[in-house]
Amino acid sequence: MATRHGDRDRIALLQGTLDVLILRTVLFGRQHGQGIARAIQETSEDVLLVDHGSLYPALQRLEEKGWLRAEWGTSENNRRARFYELTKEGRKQLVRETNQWRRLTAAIERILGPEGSEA
Amino acid sequence: MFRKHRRSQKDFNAEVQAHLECEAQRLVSEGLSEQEAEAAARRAFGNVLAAQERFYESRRTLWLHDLVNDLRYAARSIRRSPGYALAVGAVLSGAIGSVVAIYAFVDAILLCRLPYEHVERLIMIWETNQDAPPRSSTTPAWVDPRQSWVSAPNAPAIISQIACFAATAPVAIVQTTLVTIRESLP
Repeated sequence: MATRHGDRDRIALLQGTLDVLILRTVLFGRQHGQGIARAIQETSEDVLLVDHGSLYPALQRLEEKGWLRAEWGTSENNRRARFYELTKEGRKQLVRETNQWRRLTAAIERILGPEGSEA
Repeated sequence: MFRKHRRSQKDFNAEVQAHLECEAQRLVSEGLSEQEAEAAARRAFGNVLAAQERFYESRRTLWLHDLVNDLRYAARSIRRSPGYALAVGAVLSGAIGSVVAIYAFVDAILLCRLPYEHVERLIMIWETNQDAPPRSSTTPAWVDPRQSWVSAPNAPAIISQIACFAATAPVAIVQTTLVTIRESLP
């Protein structure tokens, strides 16, 4: 997954970030892969672009861990698609990972200090 | 209790294909031609084959699949050159057989523990003289030179004694005297 600052400014995100974003996206209702990618892009205001080639192995991994459940259905434009929804275990994992992420970002923020203090 | 049903490669490939079609349709609705939309959808997805391979490799039977492929390759190679395979087999068998024989010998002689309580105290006695090479000693054939024996008609001529010395001590060279039996022991 990349941030949208052009190809030269791509920032590598921490491993596991995509997992928590997927879990968060399907929290609000079942969604297919393409819908998940679009939701992440739109919610992040185009800052995050999901690499579709990485998305499906990530969905597969979450499904194998029991955090997502999937079944085939029909999308809004009458196309066949595989829909994912959060399981009970998935919700617990989402809470765990969200807390971890918030603690991590808060710690980094404390080190970096407020914006404008880097000069 | 029952193994979870594993998703098939075919199902995964179908999902990827469905995604590409969905994405292409969305791009067509945004004004691209069908051909351009398909190409753009594939570009946005990235390497489809790599994604399929990643899914394939995530399945835990990969090591078994590799093993089966290697065995098939080995069988084909043997079928192509049976003479070479036979020569390699003979060399390997000979080498492994020799190593096993050597180890069996080493195990029996050096590694196997003797059935005695203080094995480390066992020693071997051998005798030498200037006319003959060293040879193992018969049991009562040595005499402690510190003892003095009176040569009397009734004196025992054979001293039978088993002495244990620490095996870590240096080898003691004991001067011996050849004795003659004067009288048989009671």
